[in-house]
Amino acid sequence: MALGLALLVLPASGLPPVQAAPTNRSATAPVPTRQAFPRPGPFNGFILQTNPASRPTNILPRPAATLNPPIPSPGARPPPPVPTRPGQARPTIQFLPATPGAAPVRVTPRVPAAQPGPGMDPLLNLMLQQPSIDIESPASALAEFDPPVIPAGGRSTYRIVITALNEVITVPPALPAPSALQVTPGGRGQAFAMLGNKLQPRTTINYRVTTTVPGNYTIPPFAVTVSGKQIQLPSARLQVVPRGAMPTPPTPKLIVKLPGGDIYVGQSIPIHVMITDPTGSAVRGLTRVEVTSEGWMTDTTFYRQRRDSVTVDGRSVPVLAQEMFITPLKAGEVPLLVQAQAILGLPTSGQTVQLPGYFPLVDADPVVVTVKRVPPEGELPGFTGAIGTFSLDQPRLATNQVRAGEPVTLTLAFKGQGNLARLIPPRLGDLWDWQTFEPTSDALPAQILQQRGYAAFHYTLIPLSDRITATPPVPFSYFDPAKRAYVDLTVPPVPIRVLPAPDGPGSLPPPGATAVAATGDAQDDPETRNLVMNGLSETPGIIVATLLPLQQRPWFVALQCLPAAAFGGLWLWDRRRRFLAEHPEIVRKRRARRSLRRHHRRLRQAASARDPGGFVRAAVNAMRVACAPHDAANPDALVCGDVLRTIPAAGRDGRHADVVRRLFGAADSIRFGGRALEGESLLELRPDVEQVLAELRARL
Amino acid sequence: MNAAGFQPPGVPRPRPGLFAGGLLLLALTGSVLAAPGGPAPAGAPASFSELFDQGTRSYLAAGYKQAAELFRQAAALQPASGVFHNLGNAEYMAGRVGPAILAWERAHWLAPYFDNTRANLRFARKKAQLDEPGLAWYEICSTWLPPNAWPWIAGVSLWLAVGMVMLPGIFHWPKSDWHQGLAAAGFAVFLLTLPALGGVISRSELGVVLEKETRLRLTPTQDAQTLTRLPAGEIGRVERRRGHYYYVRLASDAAGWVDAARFSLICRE
Repeated sequence: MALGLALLVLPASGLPPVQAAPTNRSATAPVPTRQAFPRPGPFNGFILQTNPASRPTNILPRPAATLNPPIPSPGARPPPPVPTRPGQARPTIQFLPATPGAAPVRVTPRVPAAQPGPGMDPLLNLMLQQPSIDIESPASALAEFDPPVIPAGGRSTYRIVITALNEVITVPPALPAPSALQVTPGGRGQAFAMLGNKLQPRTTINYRVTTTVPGNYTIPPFAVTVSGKQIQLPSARLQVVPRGAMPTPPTPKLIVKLPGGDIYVGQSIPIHVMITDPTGSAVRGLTRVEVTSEGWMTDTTFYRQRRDSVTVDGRSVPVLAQEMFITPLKAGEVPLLVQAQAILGLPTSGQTVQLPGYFPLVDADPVVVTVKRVPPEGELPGFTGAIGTFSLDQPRLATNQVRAGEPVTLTLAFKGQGNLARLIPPRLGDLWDWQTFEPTSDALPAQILQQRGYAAFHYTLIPLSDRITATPPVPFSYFDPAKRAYVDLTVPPVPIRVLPAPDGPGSLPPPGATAVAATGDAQDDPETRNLVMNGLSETPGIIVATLLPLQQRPWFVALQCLPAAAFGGLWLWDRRRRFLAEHPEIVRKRRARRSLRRHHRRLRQAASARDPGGFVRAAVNAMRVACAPHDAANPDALVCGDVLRTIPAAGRDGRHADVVRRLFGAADSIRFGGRALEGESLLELRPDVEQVLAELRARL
Repeated sequence: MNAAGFQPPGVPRPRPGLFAGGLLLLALTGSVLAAPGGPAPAGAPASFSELFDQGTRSYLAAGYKQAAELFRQAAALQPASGVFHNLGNAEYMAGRVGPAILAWERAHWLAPYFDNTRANLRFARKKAQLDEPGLAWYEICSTWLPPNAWPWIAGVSLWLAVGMVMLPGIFHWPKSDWHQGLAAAGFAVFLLTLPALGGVISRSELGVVLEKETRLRLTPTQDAQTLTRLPAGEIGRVERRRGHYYYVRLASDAAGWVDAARFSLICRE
């Protein structure tokens, strides 16, 4: 049955067809089909492509009107409708023949034993009816060289196919290959084939094999571990012929073509993954194209396939090319490994894996790509990571006249070469005259955006003043890899006429003050109405040492103690002064003691100098000042009798009185006669004079 | 002579020259200590002015983050109202609302009569939908003048009144009405400044939430239950301290513990 069959799942109740592969798309969404081309031979199943790693399947975007068209079958009766309960949609699998005129085949899957109830969720209902994965059947393993004959220096693929899940397979790290063969790991992938009512997992593991030594090489049987059990791989044979000895039949080969120029982190790069088709009809398709190396992000939302021709080894070879977009995620020397599953119409020569519906996994030679970072120097305002070449359409305003406080929409459309689907819109900062919101983009799938060729962003702006005459400029820039420089693409202001707000003056407060402005009192307040941020201060203003208040600083508290101490001292001094004013004898006695000390000192000096005159004058003066306070008299006015009266009664008639009389007599002699009559004999009175002065001092 | 005009014999008269010299020394000491900011470090003014000028230039060139850093360095050298005002502008333009409001509050603390700072604070709060801090009447009074003016007014008026009461009797000055009038006025001014002095101390416990989504916790621990999350720029009053946490009370009367790293007092750097 050399027919290509398309797999469709059609709800029998007349709903639009949905894809059979597990997907979360709704049944009414326009979902393109996936074509599967089984290998020739007895047909006992069909391939059902799945997406085990939640990777979106490669979908060819097509208009909804052309999706899943019911293929007419002239001369054939349409299949009878599948009986269903009202409101229940039973899926139908329809095989579409590639040959025109053949009748489509519809198959209604067997209803599982757990029949869902009428109130069950339709999605859960659909999930329950999905075929289960066959993980109970014993795994089988196959191995082959593709191609089995290569020239010396050529490359062959040692391919292992095991009917088990990828996660449960453990392959020895080193294959038991002959030492002359250079074996390096290649791609590894998993697919499912539908056999009966179950999905059979098939894991393919590729190794790149090459050698420069002609000969016959055999990789002997060896064991691999599947779910903890050992299964034996069959042997595989590779023939290496001398270069040019015999023409080796060309086989499909996967080629990756990168664009020229520098590649930058974050840049969306279009690459061409091509599989050669030597005969022009061997390759029917290419599916599950994926980048398996780290550091790349594959854009699975959009790709294109076409037939082309490329020059390989000097001759033109037809290829089936798939254009897709990848984005490098890190800088440096990043390897790029690409693999795909080839849908072949005819088996290649020597191919031994003959599983029904088997699509060989092919991988391209590794490519090391130098990825750079965009330079930080020269970055312009509004750079949001856009790399490529972009242009801006004329900005469009929803209206060119608006009242202050009413929203207006500004639409920006960016075109160009780059990942338009992932373009981040430039943001408007805080503006004083405008209230801005986060820009929104068209809620369209990425593939639609890519097909449309431009990305549109909508900015909702609210003018806050009727003095506005144009929209604010939107800073935007991108990095041009060809120019290796940033390019300014700032959106220019768009003229707009802003009318005054209906209930107030032309200027409205900013967004935060909207609630305040809505009240009448607040609108009457000019400060609230013109709420704006003021500019810089031209001078430093008041300079302080610290922000701490003065009263919390210790030095200020200590400073307050100074006037307190001063005033306290003054008060004490005044009290003392007043006390002395009321007791003048204290002052007189203090002065007498001070004068007595002075005359006493002179007395001792005169005695030491053997100066009778000085001795007599000092002694008499000392006695006078010591006796004066008792009589409140002037010391110079006292005579000998006054001093004798002051001397204690016990000494008035004794030696002390004689000493006093002799001294006063000598003083009178000196005063009136010019000299002391007794001469130096008076100096011998010093001990008695000292005793008299001591007694007088004691009375002060 | 005393107040009655009688001078007791032997009582020494006070020497006006000595007392005047003492007062002059006291005044000089006070004036030195009262100089704004005290003695400035050598070389600091040049660097301060350079930082201020560079920050202004960076701000005008739209380098807001760099301007904020320069103004912050200038404020660390010499806190000044104009520097804090400009720092607030730069922080706000750099998108940091909490530090911007803190800087403006500090500028407002130093120069409460600077209208631009008041307008910016009002603008930022309206923009961020934050409440004005709730102040008591005596705290509002304290905002009429810079906080450092109140202690000086209180000190001068108090000691002037005390002096006018004491000095005429001590120095036997002739009795005069203006002595008593000055003393009464001094005491009156001193009494009027007391609420403002209390308001300044009370306001010194106000602080600003620096980061958005700051957690208000039930206990001063890292794993404490979160009562609510505070927006940047929210004003809170510190009531207690424990380790690295402040117990703050908000304008809404909600209270809880806030990490000290995410909350800064206005008058303490």
